[in-house]
Amino acid sequence: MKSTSRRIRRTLITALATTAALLCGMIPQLAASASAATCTTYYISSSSGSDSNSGCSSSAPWQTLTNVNATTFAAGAQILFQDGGSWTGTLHPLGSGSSGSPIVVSSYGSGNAPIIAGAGAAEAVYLDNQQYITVENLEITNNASSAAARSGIEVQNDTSGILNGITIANNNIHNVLGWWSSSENEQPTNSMGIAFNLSDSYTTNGWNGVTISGNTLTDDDAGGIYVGSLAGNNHGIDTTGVVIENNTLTDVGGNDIVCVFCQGATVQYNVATDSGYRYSGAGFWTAVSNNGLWQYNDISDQWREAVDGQAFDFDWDTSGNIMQYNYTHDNPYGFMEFCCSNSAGSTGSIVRYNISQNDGAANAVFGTLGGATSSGTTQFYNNTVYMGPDDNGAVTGGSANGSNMYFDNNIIYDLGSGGYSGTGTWSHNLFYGNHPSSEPSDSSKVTSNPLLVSPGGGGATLASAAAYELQPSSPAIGAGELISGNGGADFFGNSVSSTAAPNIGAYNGSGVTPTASESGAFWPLSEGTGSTAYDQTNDHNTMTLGAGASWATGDTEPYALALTGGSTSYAQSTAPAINTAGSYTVSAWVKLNSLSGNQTFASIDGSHISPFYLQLSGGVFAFTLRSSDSTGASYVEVTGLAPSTGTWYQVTGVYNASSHTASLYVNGALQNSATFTSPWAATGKSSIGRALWNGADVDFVNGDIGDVRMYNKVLTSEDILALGTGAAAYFPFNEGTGSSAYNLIQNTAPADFTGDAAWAGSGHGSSNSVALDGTLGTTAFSPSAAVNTAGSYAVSVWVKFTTISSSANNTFVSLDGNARQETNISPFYLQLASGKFTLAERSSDSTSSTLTTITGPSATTGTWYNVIAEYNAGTDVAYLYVNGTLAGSASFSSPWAGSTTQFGDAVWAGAQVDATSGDIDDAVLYNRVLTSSEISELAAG
Amino acid sequence: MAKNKQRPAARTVPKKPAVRPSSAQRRFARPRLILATIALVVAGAGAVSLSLLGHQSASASAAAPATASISPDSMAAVETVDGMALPVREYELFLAQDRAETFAYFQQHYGVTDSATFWTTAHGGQTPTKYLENAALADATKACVQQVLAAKYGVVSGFSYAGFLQAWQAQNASRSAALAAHKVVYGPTHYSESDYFTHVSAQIAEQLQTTLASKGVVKVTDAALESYYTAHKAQFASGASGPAQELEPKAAGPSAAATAVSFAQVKSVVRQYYVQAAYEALVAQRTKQAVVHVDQSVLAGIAIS
Repeated sequence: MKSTSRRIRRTLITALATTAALLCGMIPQLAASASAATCTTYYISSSSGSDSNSGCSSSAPWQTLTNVNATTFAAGAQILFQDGGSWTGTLHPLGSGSSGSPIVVSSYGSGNAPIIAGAGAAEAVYLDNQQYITVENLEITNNASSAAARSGIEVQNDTSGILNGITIANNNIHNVLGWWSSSENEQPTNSMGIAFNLSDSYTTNGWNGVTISGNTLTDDDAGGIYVGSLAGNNHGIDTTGVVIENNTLTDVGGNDIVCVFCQGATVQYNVATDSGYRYSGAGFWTAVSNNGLWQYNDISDQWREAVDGQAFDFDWDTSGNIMQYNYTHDNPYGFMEFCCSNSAGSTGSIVRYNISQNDGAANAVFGTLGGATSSGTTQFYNNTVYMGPDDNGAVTGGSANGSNMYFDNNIIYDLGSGGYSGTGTWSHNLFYGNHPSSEPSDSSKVTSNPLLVSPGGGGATLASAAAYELQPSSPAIGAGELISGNGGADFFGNSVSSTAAPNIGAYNGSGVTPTASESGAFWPLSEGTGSTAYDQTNDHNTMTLGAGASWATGDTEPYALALTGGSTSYAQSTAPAINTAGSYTVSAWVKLNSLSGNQTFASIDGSHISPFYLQLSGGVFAFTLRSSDSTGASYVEVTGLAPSTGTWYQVTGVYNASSHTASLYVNGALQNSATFTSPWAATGKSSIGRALWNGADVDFVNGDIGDVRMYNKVLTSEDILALGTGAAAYFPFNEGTGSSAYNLIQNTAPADFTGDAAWAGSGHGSSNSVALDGTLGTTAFSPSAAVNTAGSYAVSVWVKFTTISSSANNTFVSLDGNARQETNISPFYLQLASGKFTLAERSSDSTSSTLTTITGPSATTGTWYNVIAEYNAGTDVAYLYVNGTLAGSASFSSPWAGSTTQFGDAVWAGAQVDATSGDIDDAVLYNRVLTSSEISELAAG
Repeated sequence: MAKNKQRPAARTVPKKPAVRPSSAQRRFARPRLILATIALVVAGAGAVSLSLLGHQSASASAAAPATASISPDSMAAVETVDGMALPVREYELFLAQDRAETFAYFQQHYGVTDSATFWTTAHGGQTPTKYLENAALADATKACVQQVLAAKYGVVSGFSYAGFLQAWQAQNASRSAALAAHKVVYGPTHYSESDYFTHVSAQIAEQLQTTLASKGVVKVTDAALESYYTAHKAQFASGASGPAQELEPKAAGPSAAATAVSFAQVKSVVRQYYVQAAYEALVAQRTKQAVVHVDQSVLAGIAIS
């Protein structure tokens, strides 16, 4: 493991000289080593050392492992391997340190960590009956042509007693080709990345003070870290003071971190992923151990090769262990299990304040509950469990042996089809999503939407578990029951009172308001094949196509859904994509084959009906909202134009909960609005191509539907204009915070702020815009070409100048070329040249290309202008409009495609030029020419 | 990895610094958060582009490095992959990662170990230096290809090594601050540059797989998943379906023979595997097709010992 700074430790020497002399008198020299007891710090250099050197200085280092392995070192000795070096074989220095004065194996110099390559030996680093030793800062491998029982670091106790003070820290242990067969009926404590192995000849041996921290273990078999013995049995719980923390495990072959015979172990802050594919085991587990703390670990993608495979396992003969504050996700065989039976199982475990996302898909989230004994009390409380629509695993598996298992204050958010194994006493839990008949009875349960900030939104990082905080209006807040001895803190570090009722779930704060980007759905419907349509905003609104739903050519996307009007010809997800009790927007592109009957393009299921219907009704487009979940509810129907068959239209419905207004847009143009005051939250499936009425599916669409979106907010009229006119990209520049401007159309990357770009605090008729200060490198920059300039295209942008250069150009929209950096330019420059609006077109990606310009009127500072550049590839004519008025046109016949998009300066000969000083807003880009009415609408703002 | 073919130098993304950086410091990238997982940033390469800026206009003065830890030499391009530059410092990560394998190869095949002349002595027509260079270039090229894909599909807004370094330093600073405030820190308390790069690359790869599937670049159909499942059935088999047998107090027999798990039960897992395999094939294909130009003089200037 390489670190940026290395320090060679210096220990106190004065006391040691005496000690060393005493030890030297007591311990016979094992070899004619010239240096035994004459150094306190030993240096070994593989490239420039010699074993006939003294080894006592970096100018006279040893070279190989031979002298090291033949030396019995004294307390306080340091054994330092030179950075950049490499040694093959087993490193096995002899001797023990003393309390406070360990023997330290480490590195010196600068460069790569010293490599100890076991090259197939039973161990790369081996300690046997030694104590008070630290091994740190090494790179350790143990590879061979075939797998066999072998370890990276193996620490052995063949005594009948306790060995103390062993620290394994900050090592990089990778490619240990170990092996284990579970048919051998022994544990793999001789074949791990890091193994602490007790001889089974005694029942009383153990360790005291084992610290395993900061190590990186990658591709190690048969697993990561194991403290135990081969028999795994017949020892007292005599190992104490174990701390295993801050280790990173990736792709270890089987067991990740195991502690057996451990009293009060602490296993925390470890990250493990992608492990368990080659050898059996669970991720993090313990057996014959008491009072351990397994906390603040992050485990994902754990696999089951033969048995187990859960992220956690409190195994047989465990008592009083706590599993808390862990974040686990995507472990198909479950978050945790107990093992193994009432007579040999786990007693008095506490599982609390954990967050589990999409675990258990091939098994159960809480598995093998029959592995808990009937003694004591086994508790699961204040956990948050999310199972997405693809996670059809069980919530609980196995049956408790007694009536001593309790589930309290847990959130079970289950969109899959799995059920419960009917065990445990449940109280004050929140069950949301699917309610299988096996759901436990819970007289104090809550079943409303817990309003998690972003259900299913947890990612690869700890910070992303914030998705499982609660929104301020969550019914889970304060709805839990007080648990005695609850530990006093939740997953996020909020305090948990010892007297007041807590929340349900792992979050005990007062609520967090999610940002708009965390909600809603966008189905591009661009798959073109198969029966699944993905939500591009996240994975938890995946749509499944019913029989009779297939694919056709799309309009804004290459494909669209093709529906027949048949009663199963639609697509649906398993959850509501938006909250229809608040403000929301729903939109879709539709091309109808038939104009008869009601055909609903998008909706969400309530229990009996849908809260809204974006549809064709009575031959016209309509946005119909119903005032309650009943066929008797009153309604408003906002109507629009009558479409023709065989033509694509973009239809958008908006509900504004502040103004109580429902509006319908077609092709970006407002059709109508109406007052509506009774929105309600539908909690059922989202659907494309049908709706719900009187508890049954209705309104089947006969036609094609593409590009469906749902937002938990009101889209502005500019947003809807961009969507409704099929823009290729639209940057509203409204966020006001952060350093990135999103592209509403979402087909290309957002525009990041560079240089001094900042939010202006106001915009053209909107809340914000991007402010540029006229320095080169100050831009909003998107790494994608927002528009394809090899064909027809149009770019519309609002710009207000702060200063206008009379000599240099000020380019406010351009692309980058593709040529070698020293020559590349932009296909076009939308700019001020000599203070006048100009569209410059270039015939090729070269500074020697031909220039075509259209010059418009002069600009003045402090005024918003709408500027549109357009190129018609069919007629080879380019156009420039300022404020909706044609400024000029020119022939241009050599279009070519650019690669990246910038707002605020441009590139010429591979360098930045043409800085703009001013604000830019509402950039809409199209891969076609605009109609004159579209130009007027854009210029009207 | 800097994108110096298509991007001019010196795009910076300030994170609302308390003190505005000087014009020289602005030339280099600063971190920003994207997708709440990856902190990477758009920026240009260092040394190469800086020299070009010098002759463009009077105002574009030659810039000093943004921070003392990034020297212009370490940002020079070792190679270009489809026009995109791989800086020395990133290449050196791969030199470190492939070092153990190089020692092992020459030990196994030729029985040679480290010595004063190890790196420069040829065996079988190749020195360990050359072997390591080739291994590191191959791995670095593949990493570049993944970064290109990530930028192309919007997983990151662009990748620059200078930006990565800033993000790494910020990550460690926040870990130190959290520790000082007695807050929780998962994983390492302090990332080495190499480990953080590995971590970020793994995150990019994972996010890229999800994105490629949702955009249909990797086509996920039920038929494809079923046939993948069938071809890899043994992989999806699981052990005894009864209570787990992690440790038996008595001498127990071997675990039950693996039993097949139904496709429906493991479909979500099959999908994950399938997408991963398709992604790796895509990266391998793009790596093969990549146009790679190595700057031999820069390569020769990187000491390996």
